[in-house]
Amino acid sequence: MQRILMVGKPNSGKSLLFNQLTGLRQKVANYPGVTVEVKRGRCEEFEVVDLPGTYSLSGLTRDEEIAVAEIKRAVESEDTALVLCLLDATRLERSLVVGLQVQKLAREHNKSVLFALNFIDEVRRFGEDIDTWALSEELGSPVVALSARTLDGLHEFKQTMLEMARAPQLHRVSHSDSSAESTVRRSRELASKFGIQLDVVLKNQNSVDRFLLNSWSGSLVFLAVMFVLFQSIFTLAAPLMDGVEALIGDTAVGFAALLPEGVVADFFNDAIFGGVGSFLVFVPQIMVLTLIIGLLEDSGYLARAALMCHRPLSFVGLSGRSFIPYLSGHACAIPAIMAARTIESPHKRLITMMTIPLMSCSARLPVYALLIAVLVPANATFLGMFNLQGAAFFGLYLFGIVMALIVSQVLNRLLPRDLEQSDMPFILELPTYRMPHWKPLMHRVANSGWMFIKRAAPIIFVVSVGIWVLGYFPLNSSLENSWLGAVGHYIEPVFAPLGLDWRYGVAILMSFLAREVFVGALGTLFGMDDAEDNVAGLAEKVQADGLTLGAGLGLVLFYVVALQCVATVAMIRGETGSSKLAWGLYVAYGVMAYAIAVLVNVLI
Amino acid sequence: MTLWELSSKQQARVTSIHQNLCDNVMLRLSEMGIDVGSAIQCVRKGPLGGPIVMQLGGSVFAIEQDLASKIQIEVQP
Repeated sequence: MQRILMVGKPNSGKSLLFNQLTGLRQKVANYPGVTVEVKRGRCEEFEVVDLPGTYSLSGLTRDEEIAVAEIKRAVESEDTALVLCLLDATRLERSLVVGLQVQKLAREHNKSVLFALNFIDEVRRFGEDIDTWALSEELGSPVVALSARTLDGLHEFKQTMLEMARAPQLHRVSHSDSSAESTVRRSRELASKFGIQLDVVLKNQNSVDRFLLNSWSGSLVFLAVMFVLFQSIFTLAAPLMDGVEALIGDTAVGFAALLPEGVVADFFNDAIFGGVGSFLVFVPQIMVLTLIIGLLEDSGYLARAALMCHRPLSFVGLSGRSFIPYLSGHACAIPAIMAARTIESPHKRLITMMTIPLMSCSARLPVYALLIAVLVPANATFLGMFNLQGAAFFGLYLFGIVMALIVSQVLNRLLPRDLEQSDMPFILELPTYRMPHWKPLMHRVANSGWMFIKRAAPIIFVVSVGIWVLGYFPLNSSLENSWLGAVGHYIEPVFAPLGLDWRYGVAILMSFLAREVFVGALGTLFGMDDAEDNVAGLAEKVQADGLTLGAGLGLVLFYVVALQCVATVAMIRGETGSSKLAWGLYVAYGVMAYAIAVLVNVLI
Repeated sequence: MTLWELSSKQQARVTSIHQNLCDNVMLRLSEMGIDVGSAIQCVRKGPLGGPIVMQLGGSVFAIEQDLASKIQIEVQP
């Protein structure tokens, strides 16, 4: 199939135009290790390929280098009929730099180029316009003005695009003169000749920024946004998570009815629906988080948040861009580690990825909920106004964040750095504030859920099956007498310094590859079948059993620090290309968690 | 004086860029529109040494201290 390529600078409305051209069906390909994401969809008889946005065809970070290589490869390809260059009508100079570079490349490979001048509605709102005819004379390729949002000019644009793609030989680039420096010079010339009065456009943006980047009002807005975000991860996602849980439960019951009782039925019920199913519960939460982060990003706020966090985070060797991965890490480390790809310096990116697991992801929530219910009286208040249990939750989150900052600082000192690469400076464009459009957002949300399942499910499956086998055999034994129980008794001395007996040992052991199984496992060991649904009941049993404050607190802090998630380890291995680093991190956090738990148990 | 020392709302013109920046960074600066002779306006200074926000060529960028202090400028009235 013949292809139409889409290239352009970031924030030029590429995703939305792509969605408008291709409709609902699209495929997203992710490249391991980099943000480079290539989307493919259909428009009439052509395949439209949305290539990663870039400011230039000379990559600055590794991410950009790969994006650029992908663009070059695509432009050179035989199947490419047309190269579509997006220009931001309100940022003509910047978008022409990459536009002219791509045009030159296309001409070298005998491809035709069409410039799409997006956001023309915003230009017209200021009572201005851009002479596209004269601009295309200058550029030597056709220019069509459009707005992917208001659909102004989209129909005409599509006609021109298809016509050119069907007969590319008639529309070769007529002329272009550009060496690296002259590209920049020429962009400036063209922008000053055709661009609109810039101050008008930037005035609005700067006056909003005066408020949102201000030390006082800006910080308040930032905290408010974070508060709403956290609230919605939990409140907005809760009914959806319950729904998924119920759906899995019903499927399990329905499925069980089909099978005769025995090993096979138990396997499906416990290992598949219980193990793999319990991880699908997190999908809605990840989608809600992606939605909110997407809203913040598309509106332009996220760039401001990264800017405000840059200075504080640089004290511990991180970048302002580490903020977004840290934020996502509170739902799940897996999308967070992927989000770290945008960090400019490889050194900072590595530190960010290594500390993301300390963010309290949602898989820790049931563990926190159980142990807080055991340790903190339900109606106690803190300073007479805050619920003490709520404050304890907050305290655990904070403990994770503080630990992450401390570890970052230590890693920043210890890790060897490649001087050439660690020099990458923090440069951030502050995009215009815009109303997010639902179409690209919805695609992103659906894709985030799907990517999470695709990346984590195989590992969770293997682990669930493995733990199930250990806990199930020898046949007809209770968990205490199973292989897992035997291991638990064998390693009991290891957990003695923590003030914990073999049952906690087994539960911790079972949760070592996926921490969310802790509550269920402990429930089984305390003789309850439905511990996940009845945390309060289990908490009473644990309390009655006499868990000391020191041991309990140690245990919960253990769960904050320990990296008990094999999917995260696999993700880190995939992103860094080093299984030594990934498993080293796993062991290191395990040892650190253990040391903290022992210390707390001894001191309290 | 350097770009880092520019105060809010001031206009300036770039006079030189430190030579020991690596090629990639130099190229990126030039693609952003930071070349000898380009006009820059400081939009705001971050508090506590946060990145400086500046306007040039119709875009707004934030850059950190390390880089901003390697760009020499002269203030324009």
